[in-house]
Amino acid sequence: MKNPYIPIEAEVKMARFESDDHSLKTIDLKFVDGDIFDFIPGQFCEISILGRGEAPFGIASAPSEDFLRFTINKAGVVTTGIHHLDEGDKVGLRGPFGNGYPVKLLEGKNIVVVSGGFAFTTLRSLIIYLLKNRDKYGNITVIYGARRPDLLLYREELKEWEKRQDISLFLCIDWKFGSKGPLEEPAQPGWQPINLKEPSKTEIKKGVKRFTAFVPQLVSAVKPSQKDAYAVVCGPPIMLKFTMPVLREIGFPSERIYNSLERRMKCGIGKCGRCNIGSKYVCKDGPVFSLKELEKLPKEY
Amino acid sequence: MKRVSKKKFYNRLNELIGQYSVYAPCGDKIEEIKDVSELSIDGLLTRLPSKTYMFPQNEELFRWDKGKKIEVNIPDRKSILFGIRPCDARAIATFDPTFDTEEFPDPYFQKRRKNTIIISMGCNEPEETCFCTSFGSGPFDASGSDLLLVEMEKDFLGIGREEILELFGFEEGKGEKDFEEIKTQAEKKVEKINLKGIKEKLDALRETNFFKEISNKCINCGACTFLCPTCYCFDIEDMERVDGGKRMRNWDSCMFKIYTYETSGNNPRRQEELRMQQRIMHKFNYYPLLYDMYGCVGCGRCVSYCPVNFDIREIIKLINNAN
Amino acid sequence: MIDKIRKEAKRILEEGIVDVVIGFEKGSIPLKSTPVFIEKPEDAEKLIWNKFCENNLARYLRRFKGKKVGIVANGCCSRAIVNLIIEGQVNRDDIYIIGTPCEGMLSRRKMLKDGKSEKNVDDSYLYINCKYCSHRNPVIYDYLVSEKIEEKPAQFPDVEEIEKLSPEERWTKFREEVNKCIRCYACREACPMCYCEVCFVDVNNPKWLEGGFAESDVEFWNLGRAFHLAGRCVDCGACERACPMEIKILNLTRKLNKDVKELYDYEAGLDIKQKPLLGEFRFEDKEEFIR
Repeated sequence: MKNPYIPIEAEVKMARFESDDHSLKTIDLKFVDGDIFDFIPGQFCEISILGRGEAPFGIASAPSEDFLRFTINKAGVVTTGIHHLDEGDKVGLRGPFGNGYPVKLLEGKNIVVVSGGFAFTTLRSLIIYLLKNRDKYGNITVIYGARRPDLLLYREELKEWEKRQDISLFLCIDWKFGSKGPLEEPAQPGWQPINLKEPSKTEIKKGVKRFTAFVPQLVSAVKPSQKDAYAVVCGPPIMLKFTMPVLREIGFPSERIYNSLERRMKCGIGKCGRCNIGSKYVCKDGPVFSLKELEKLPKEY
Repeated sequence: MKRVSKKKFYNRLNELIGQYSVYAPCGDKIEEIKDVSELSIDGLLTRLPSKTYMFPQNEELFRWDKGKKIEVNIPDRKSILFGIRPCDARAIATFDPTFDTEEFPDPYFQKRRKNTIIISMGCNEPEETCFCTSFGSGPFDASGSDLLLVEMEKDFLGIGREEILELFGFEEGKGEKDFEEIKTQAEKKVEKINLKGIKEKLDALRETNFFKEISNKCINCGACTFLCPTCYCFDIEDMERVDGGKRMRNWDSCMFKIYTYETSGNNPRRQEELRMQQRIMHKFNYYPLLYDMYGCVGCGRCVSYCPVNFDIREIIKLINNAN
Repeated sequence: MIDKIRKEAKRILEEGIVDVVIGFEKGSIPLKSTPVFIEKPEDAEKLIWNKFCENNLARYLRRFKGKKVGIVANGCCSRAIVNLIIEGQVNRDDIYIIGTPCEGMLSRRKMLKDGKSEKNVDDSYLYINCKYCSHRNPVIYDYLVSEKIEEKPAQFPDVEEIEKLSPEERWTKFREEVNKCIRCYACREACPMCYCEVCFVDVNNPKWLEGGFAESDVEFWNLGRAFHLAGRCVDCGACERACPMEIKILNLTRKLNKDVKELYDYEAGLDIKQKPLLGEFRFEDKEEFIR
C-alpha cells in the first residue's frame, strides 16, 4: 500500500550560500534510487531531516532539469538543520504536492511575473519552463526586487535573462547602508532611481534593467499591459499589499491575478487540518490561487 | 427480528478472542481485552472517544536506526471493536473522506478500518447532553456499524450485516414491538436541534461580529477537540534518540494558539474568534460543503466536559436566530 | 446578594464606568454556571451567583486590555486579580471589582454521580480547596455585595495525609494520577496565572519535552506547571475543575502552597504592594536547603 508519509532518500549534490549574510542557502538534490519525478512549476516538496522534522519548500528547479533545487531561509529548527548540510549528505523528500501554476491556462497569453525577496524560488521554475516552451506563450515580463543585490536569488540566471530579447526583465533594490527611507539616488552604482513622487511617470530607457525602487513602485513604472495578460505575484505580505492596488489600477481583474500562498504545514497532503483557508487546503487545493478564488474564502491573512 | 441470548453472544465473543483482537470500552477509554470478564460498559459514553482506536493519540509513522534506514510497522490484525455507541460508530465514517482517499491513502487508518468489525450497542437511556437525532440519526442508528445490538433483559436484538449476525449465532425471533417501544422512548430523551440551512446561515455570518461575541468565554483549552469523536487534526513530530528515532503523529487542536503559528512570527489565527470560527465552520459548513456530511455526530461530550459550558447546541440556536 | 450584583453591574454600565462586566449566568446543563460578558445595562439581569460558579473569571482580564472592565470576584478571583496587577498584566484603574464573599463551590461531578440536584445543595460536596479556604472574602474590591464572613486560618489536612505516606507510596500515587493526562492543556488555559505567550511545552528550540505520552513527558508537564506557579498560585482550583480526566492537580499545587507558606510565610495575591515571592530576596529567607 502506498504510504504518503514516508520520505524518499535524496542526496545533496550541491550546496551554496546565496546571500552575503549566509541567511539563504541553495541546495540541489537527487534521489539515491531513481530519477526525479515529474512535476509542474509551483509545486512544493516536504524536506525531512530525520530527528529534526520536516518543512515544505517550493521547488526552484524546472521539470526539464535533472535535479531538484531549493532555496532555504534559516529561521527555525529544520531550516537550521538544512543549512548545516554539505555535498554528500542525505535528506528525506516527499512530494510533489500542491496544484502548481496554471501553465495550461496561461498558454497563448502574456505573462507578468512580480516577485520580491526569496519568494522567487518557484518562479525560477516557472520562468525556465516558459522559456523552454517559448512559442506557446506571449510576452513575458518579469519584475523582481530585493533589498540588496546579494539578496536577489539565482543571479546567474538573471544575468542570462537580462541579455535575452524574448523576455523583459526588470530588477530593483531599495537599500543603501546608512540611508533611511526611499532613495532618490542609486542605492548601488548602475541601479537607476525612479520618479518617487509619480512612479508611473518614470522614463524607462531601452536596455535599462536595474532600478532603485520598491517592487510596487517598479510595477507602476513599468506599466505592464493587462491586455490578454495574467499576473503571477509571489512575495512577502507587505509587497503583496502594495502591489495589488497597482495591478488593479493597470486593469488586471481578480481572475487574472495569481498568488502562491504560504501556511504552516505538517502533512502536506490535506489531512492534518492545519493549513486550510475556509474549505480549501493550501497544501492540496493550493498553494496557487487566483485572487478571485481567495475573495470567496475567509480573510485569514 | 434477529435475536440471541446474551450468554450465547458473550460466549461466542470469548471464543473469537483468539482469532480477532477484541477492543472494548474499559472505563475511560477503549482497550484490548483478553477475556469477556474484563468488559466494563457501565455508563453511556467512554470519556475518550472511539477515534482512540482508529486514530490513536500517538501513532508511530515510522522509525529509523543509526544508519537512518527507515522501518514502517503498521498493525495488520483482524479486530473487533465492540460496545461503542452508535454515535461513536458513525463518527468513524466521518474520517473516511479525509483519510481514505485515492490520491493520498492513509495506510495507518485504512488498514485498521478494513480489518475491523464494528459492533455497537444501542442507547436505551440517552443522556441529557445527547443530540444525535439532529443529524437524522438516533440512539439505534445502525449506519456506521457492522452490527447494532439492542439490549433487552436476557437477550440482544441485532440489526446489521448477515455474515456478522450469523457469526454470533443470531436467529429469527420476536422483538419487533419491544424494539419499537424502546426506540421511541429513547428518542424522546434526545434533543433534536434544527440544523436546516445551517450551512447557508453560517455563510451569511462570516466576517461579522457574531463569532467575536460568542467566543468571549471560550478559554481555548482543547478539551473539546480531544474528546470529540470526529476531530482529526494532528501534528507530526520527530523523536530523536541516541541510536535512531521515530516520527510520531500526535493529536493537535485547532483551538491552540500555536496551531497555525509560522516560524516567521506570523499567525493567521492569532485571535480567539478566528479559531472559534474555524471550528464551527469546519463542522457545519466546510465539511458539509466538501463531503455532504456534518463534522459532528451529536455525542455531547464537548457539552459535558467544557470547563466554561460553551454549548454547541446553544450556539446553533443562536445561529438560527441570528438571521 | 444577586440583586445587589445586578444593580451594581447595571449602574456601572449605565454610568460608563466600565465597557463590559464579566460575571456568571445560568448554564445550559445541570448544576453549572457559565461566564457571561455583559455590555448592555439591561442584560445585567442575567447575572447570578451560586455555589456552581466554579471558574476563575480573572482569566479573561488580559483579553480586555485597553478597555474598562467590571468583574464579579470572590476571594480567590480577587487574589488572582491582585497577582495580575503585581505582575504588571492589568491596571488597577481599568478594573471595577464587585466583591462577593464566598462560602465555597460544590463539585458538580460528584453531585451528579450521586444523583443530587440543585434542590439538595449540600456542603459535604465542597471542593477540597474551598473546604480549607482561608480567604473567603475578596481581598480587593470597589463594591462589596454583602457583609464579610468569618475567615479560617490556612490549613492543609489533605496535603498532610499524603505527606504521611512513604516516598514509594507517594510516587505510585503520583504516577497513577498524572498518567491519565491527555495533554489537552485545559488546566493551563483555565488558570489565570498561566498567561505566557509561549508556554514551555510549546518551545521548539530547545525542545524541553515532546508531545507524546512518554511517562516522563507527562510527569514533566504537570510538575513543571505546578512549579511555575509556586508563590503565584491562588488556590482557586480552576485547573482541577477544568481537567476532563479528573486528575487531582490540587495535590501538587496545594503542596507547593503549603511549602511556600511554611518556608517563607507567603501567600500569593493578598496585597497589591506585595513583591512576587520568587522575584524578591529577603535576608530572613531560610537557607538550610543550600549546602
